[in-house]
Amino acid sequence: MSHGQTELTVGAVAVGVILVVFLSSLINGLQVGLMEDVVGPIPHITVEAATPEARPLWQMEGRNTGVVTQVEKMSSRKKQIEQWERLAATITRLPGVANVAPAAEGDGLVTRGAKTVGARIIGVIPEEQMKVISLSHRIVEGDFNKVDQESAAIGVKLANDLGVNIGDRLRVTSNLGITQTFRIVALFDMGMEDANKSWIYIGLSAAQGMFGFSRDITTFNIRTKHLFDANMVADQVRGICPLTVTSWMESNASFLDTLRMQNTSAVVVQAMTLLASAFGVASVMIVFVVQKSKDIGILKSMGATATQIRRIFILEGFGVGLGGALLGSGIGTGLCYLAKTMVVPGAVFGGKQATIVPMQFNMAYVLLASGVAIIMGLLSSVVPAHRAANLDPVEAIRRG
Amino acid sequence: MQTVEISKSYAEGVKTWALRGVDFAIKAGEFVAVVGASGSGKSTLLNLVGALDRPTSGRIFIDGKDTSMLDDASLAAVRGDTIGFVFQFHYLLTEFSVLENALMPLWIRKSGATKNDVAWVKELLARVGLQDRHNSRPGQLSGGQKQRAAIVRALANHPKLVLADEPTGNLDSQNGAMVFDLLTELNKELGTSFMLVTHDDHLAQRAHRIVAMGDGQIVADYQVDKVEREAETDDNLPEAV
Repeated sequence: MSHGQTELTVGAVAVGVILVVFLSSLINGLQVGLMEDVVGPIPHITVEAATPEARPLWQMEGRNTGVVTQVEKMSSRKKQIEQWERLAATITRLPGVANVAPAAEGDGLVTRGAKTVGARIIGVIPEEQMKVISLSHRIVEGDFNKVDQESAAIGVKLANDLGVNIGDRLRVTSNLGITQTFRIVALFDMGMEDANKSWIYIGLSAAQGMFGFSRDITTFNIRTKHLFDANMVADQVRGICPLTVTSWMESNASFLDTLRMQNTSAVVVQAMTLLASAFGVASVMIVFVVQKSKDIGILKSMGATATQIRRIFILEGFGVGLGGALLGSGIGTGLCYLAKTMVVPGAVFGGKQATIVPMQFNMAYVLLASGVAIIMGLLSSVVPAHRAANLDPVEAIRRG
Repeated sequence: MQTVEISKSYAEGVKTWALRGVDFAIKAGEFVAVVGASGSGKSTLLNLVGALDRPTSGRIFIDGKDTSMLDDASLAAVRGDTIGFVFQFHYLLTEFSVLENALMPLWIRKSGATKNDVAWVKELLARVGLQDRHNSRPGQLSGGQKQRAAIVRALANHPKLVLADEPTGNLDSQNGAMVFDLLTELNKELGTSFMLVTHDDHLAQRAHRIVAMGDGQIVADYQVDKVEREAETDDNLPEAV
């Protein structure tokens, strides 16, 4: 192709590739960030003892007449899971499961001086808990591993409300009325208001004692090997125990729908851009065929076959696709890198410098976009190549 | 090369016959001039003979092969191996050098030129006086030089027949005469047959044979006396640039 035309077509392809690489990295970055915010602080699957529901007597089987009772909601006191170690071992063996951590949870109060606030008391084995939710970068201060019988981790909001800090002591009272004193060893920021202002982590055995569970627990927290296998793994867990099993995907269904919609619209935008590039390349090449019809006629008069002529244009399309892919990959990667290094001055969250755009660059996008660009170049040369190959040499030479 | 009863019609609105049952043959080494008014079917005959086009009816034999039996690819092969074209305009490919243009038919037919091929093309370029312009682009050549490069290109594949459609039509009389001389000399030296369409009766007189066309038919076909031919050559024009 003449100078200008080649650059134009290669440029059109490159723009498509740049957009795909950049947009994919951006969307992926946003989604990874969102997923981390939403799914990071919660286990992929929670298993709790089924809460028995109170039912009016008249609904009971075999009784047509009876006393109509008012249905009262059960207290928030959780049902326990007994002999959980064996069940934990069974769940751990399921193929999709990465880690299982036990927890004993209940409601209570936290007191510091004259201030008292309601709290969710969660008894955990810290090293196990850290394997099922991503905690490490959510710890703002202190060390979560130090949580035990006498030490607690609390949310930043709670610490602020009570005016306490690392090393200070708190009185924690369970809903059974048992009170124990804990020293604060870690402050966390879960990114969730509720967790930050009311969660308090203590050692598992301390919680078991305070809630009168002896050696029982209330909850299993499970981390799956693959985030999106959570529903499948949840079904497997349901199959082996009669407990209430909830996956993160079930409790965040609308969030997932939003992500899916975001993905779909990104794919549509990318496909449209590539399509527009392809049309651009095809139309420039058709003009090129018209411009070169005289030359094509001459080549035919010298014995060039339709196949040879077609091959020239297909190769041209391949070259344009390849050139656009290389140029676009280079610039796209460069832009992603640039965007990644652009930071908000002075903004540091959780020990990390905050970036303006949360890029998540992935070589797979570059390869995919390049592959698509090359195929696109080939496809967009099909019509022009066909036209060129079928030119009547007599007409082409006379008109040229 | 022989045609049997060939006809060609163009159906654009009203069906018009460009050729009506033309029988025509050209012998090896012959130099034939085709003359006639415009629209008389000269160029159509040339395109059919060169297998650039297919007749509406009738058959064309090139080198003993019936071209009506060949598919497009085989026809292209016949064209590339046995025929060379020179057009009124040089039609050199502007992106390529003179040498590359001249080697083009070899690249097309053999997907590569051997050392011998290159030597042959260089010899031809020297023969037409372009030995110093191998690497020039067509744009850097004069009209006469371009046409001479086009002649070398037509001869690169050792064709049996060179078809020239008004090869001097776009040149001034000096350059025109020089190109014409070159064609007659090459005809003599290489033994290649030449069939050339011209409206210049003066030049046509220097061919072995003149075929006059009128209204899609051959109206006259006669040999030119050697004496007559040489008389024409004698009042040759001075050397052109």
